[in-house]
Amino acid sequence: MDDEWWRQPIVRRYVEVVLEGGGRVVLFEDLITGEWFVQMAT
Amino acid sequence: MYIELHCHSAFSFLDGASLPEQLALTASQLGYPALALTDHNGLYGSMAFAQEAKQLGLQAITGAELTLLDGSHVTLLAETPEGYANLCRLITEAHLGRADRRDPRLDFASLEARHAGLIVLSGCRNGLLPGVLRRDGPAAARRFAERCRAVFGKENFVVELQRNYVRGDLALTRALKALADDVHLGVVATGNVHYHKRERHRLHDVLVAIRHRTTLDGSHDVRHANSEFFLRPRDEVEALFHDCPDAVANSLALAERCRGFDLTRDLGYRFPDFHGAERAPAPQALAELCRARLEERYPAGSLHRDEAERRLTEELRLVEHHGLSGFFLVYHDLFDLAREVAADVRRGSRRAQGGLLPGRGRGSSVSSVVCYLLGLSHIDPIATRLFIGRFLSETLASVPDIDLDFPREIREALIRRVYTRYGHEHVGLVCSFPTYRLRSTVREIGKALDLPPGEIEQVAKLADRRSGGLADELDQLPGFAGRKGAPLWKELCELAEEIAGLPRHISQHVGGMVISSRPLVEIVPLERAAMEDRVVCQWDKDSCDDARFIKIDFLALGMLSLVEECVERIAVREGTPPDLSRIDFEDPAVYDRICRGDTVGLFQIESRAQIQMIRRTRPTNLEDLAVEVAIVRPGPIVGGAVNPYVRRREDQRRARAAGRAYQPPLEHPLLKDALAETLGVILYQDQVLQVCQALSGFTAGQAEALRRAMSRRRSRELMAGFWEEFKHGAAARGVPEATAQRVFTQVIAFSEFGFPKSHAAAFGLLAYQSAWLRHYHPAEYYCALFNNQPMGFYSLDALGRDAQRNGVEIRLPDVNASDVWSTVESQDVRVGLGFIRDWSEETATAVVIERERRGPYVSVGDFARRAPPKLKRTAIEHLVWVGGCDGFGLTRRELLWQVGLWLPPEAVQGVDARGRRQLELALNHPHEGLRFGGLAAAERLLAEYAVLGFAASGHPLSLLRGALPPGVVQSDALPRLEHGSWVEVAGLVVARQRPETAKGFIFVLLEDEAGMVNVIVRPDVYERYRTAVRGEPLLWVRGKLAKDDGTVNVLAEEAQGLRLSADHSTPHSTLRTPHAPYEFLKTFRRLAPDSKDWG
Repeated sequence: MDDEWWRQPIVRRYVEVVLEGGGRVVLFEDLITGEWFVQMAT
Repeated sequence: MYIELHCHSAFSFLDGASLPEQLALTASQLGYPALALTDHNGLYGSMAFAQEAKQLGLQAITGAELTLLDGSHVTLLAETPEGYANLCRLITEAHLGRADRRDPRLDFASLEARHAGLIVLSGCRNGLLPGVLRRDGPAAARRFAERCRAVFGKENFVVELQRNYVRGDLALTRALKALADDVHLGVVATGNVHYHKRERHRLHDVLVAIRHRTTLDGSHDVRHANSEFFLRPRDEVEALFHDCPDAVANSLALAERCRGFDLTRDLGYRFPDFHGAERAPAPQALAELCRARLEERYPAGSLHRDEAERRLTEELRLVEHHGLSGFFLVYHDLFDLAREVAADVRRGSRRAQGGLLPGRGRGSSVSSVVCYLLGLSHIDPIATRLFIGRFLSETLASVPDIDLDFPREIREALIRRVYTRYGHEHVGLVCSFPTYRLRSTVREIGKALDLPPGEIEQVAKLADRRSGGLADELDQLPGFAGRKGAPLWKELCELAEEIAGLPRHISQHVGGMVISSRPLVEIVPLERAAMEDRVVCQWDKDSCDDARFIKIDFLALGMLSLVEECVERIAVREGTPPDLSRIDFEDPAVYDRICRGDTVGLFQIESRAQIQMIRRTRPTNLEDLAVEVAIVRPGPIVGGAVNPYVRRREDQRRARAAGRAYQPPLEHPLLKDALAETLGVILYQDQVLQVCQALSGFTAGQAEALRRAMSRRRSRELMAGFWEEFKHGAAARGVPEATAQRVFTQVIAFSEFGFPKSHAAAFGLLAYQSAWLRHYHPAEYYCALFNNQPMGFYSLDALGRDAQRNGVEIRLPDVNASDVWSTVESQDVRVGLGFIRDWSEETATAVVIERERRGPYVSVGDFARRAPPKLKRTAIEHLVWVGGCDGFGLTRRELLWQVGLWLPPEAVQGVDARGRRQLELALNHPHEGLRFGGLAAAERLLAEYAVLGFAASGHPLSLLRGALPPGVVQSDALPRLEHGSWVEVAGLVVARQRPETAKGFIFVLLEDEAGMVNVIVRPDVYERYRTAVRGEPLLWVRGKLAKDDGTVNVLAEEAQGLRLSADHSTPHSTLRTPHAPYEFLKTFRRLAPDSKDWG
């Protein structure tokens, strides 16, 4: 994702991870700060 | 090896952010051997792309992404010439087969029926196959894929896989790959490219927001999610598809197959053949035709006979050498067609006997004696000493242009007749692509960025530049300094730079038409123009030129329409029309007025700058007028030719008066033949070629290459490329490098706009004819001038007052005297009813017909009953406000009162306020007789501006004169004041000019009740008073008087919107109350006609 460059730019790389046991979780890396986050379910 | 086969340019209109040339260059830099251009529903940029790619050694693949009826996309690539022809036909069908010309779509059945030679890719995420998969599931997708395989063939339908790091890409491409494997179809990787480099994604986001008429915040659902739609390095794509190497390999294989068609080579365009029938072969037929006319035009023993014969022989040799005999004969037939059309249009009119030509030649073709003898030009090229090299030479690289001007009516009919003659599939108008200018950029990007609309409008209105440089503009605008670094404004400035030069939309070229022997629809796609019944091809002038199309320019020239009408009116008055080809072309009375600068409303010599020039150069014949037409153009101005010419002209005049010969100074004696007639400077395009040949020994081939460079988009760059050849050629002839450099500076100045002498001669003749008509038939001339707007440099307001200064009264519309358009009454002009605000030609015609049928209108009630229902109450009130019912014997207030009695307000009655049934009974109204006073002079004047957009009853300054600041002098007093004296002037702004060639100087033309004043505003003064200079309708200026050989200018030091004197209770004021001037000024500022702004 590369968006909202006109306000507060959001640049992220998302990955969907399959956990042992079959669970899935979405992680993303903030490409501006280098930090990793877990995408919260909405 | 990966090849990109799915790529959009800015010619996908608001869905692509790079020019084709930028994409080709980037592809070349990234090491791509080939690239496909696949814009939405069009090949608009394909020729420019192919030409650029060829220069770069890149294989250009021609294709398009078509939208199907259900909105899904399919990508088509031309594999063979037949495939290309099919692609053109399919795109054309997508455009012409739709009710909404802005929503092209193709029936899939059409693609099934016409796919030979095309490679069909399954499309992007919104493509054909992904759509079925998403909507109907895998089983339906499989059935559809099998159908496509059966219809298009296994080799010709390929499943497209796109990976742009968008969520769902992997799953979708894996599903599509499995589907393709299942039904034994190939897959191909594509990048769905929308810009040449990643950084352009911001502009693309903005373009998408503009396309959806929303802001960036509002376009979240329709924007790309990321910046991954750029032209990617090939190894990156190969890595992205590491799990699917055949998708990458297939891209190369498909590109290789597309080598079977090269747009720069395989187009197969042919101009319609000359059908000689029983006539001889084309060269012989042309020669016979020309020689027969030669006997008529240059009888044996006549002054120019020998030269004409020699020239004709030479031209016929060149024509045959280039195989153009048929081309000239077809043109001759076309002109015969124009004669038929003109005869039809003029049938029944009095001017039909006036010997008027159907149209006239313009441009370089006027220099050809063949064109003259065929009737394609009306200027004798031998007597006028016109140089043929600009039009026809030994090494002609493209077919010469023959441009023809027509009156508007004749042109419209002729275009329709050409369609009929050659067939609708064989004819198209050339298109043009208007690019983003600074104002449209600021408005559209500003809206996408959600900047305050008021501020955006302010910047758009005050911005001076045509494109680019917004940051510098903001720095200079009052109230916007420092904004260029502020959030959003910074982005606006950056994006404005990026968008400059990108095509904004497709439009129609001013007159270019392409006729093709092979159906044009197989050579370039056609689509509907905004004007009804018009079809344009998807290539602009440059692409048509690259395609070697023969472009026929049928141009509409307003002045020719004016001449038609003027001649008709003279014939009505005098019984016979004047023959404009036989008038006295050296009439001193006509030249005297021209030399006084009394040229407002004349063709081509009326602008502020031209009037100044004329007063100094004092033309006395047609050749001098050709110079006047050509000299105030960017080419001569940038080349520094203007001032030397004017000085030398004055020297020449003085020398002649003293009985001495005059030799103009020359940069080098070798230039004598080329430049002697223009006193040593380059004024005409043809002289550029002559100078290069004379000074540097340019061959005909070099001259031809230079001629082509001169008329291209990037002309300056292209012409500058000739410097080395020019320098070496000059050195070989012993010309010092410094001299060569000075001359070359003048040469490349003609990368800017300039005229060939032949064109200037044609326009100079028309300029004279317009001056002659105005001098001897002023009422008819001004009447036709009013009826043929818009044209020229001045508003109707200024033209009307010029008419009055020349003794022609402009009479206001009258319900019992006016026609639909303006008419001549005695020696004056009666304004037509069609000029009134909220009246249309239709309602005005109905009113006139009713009057002719049942007699004059006798009262407001009578008029309200008999006028067409479409004429609304406000329209009738407008008529009354400008005195159109004064003949009923009441004051305008009384008349307005009566309109109110007979017709209720529109808000009460709804849409059709005149649907009141009581009107049918013609009884007197009980309150009809109430008495009211008349309108004051100021009210009448304001009403005229509000209703007509111009004033016929006076000048606003005449009403304010008594209230003006005490130092203000009237324009007619300026010639009596001394050069260099300080003056204050005030007036209505008639025109504002900021020519690009004037280094930031602004020229403002002010008008007061006595005449016009030229004001020159220096850049530093402009920066101080920009808001007033740019936006005020009435301007007060303080400055120094500059007088030079008949010209009078005010060099501004201070400029403000007009303020009234604190003590204006002077008895001279025409306005009745002390507050009246303020009120008048306030209202007038709102109603003032827009000045004509140039540059």
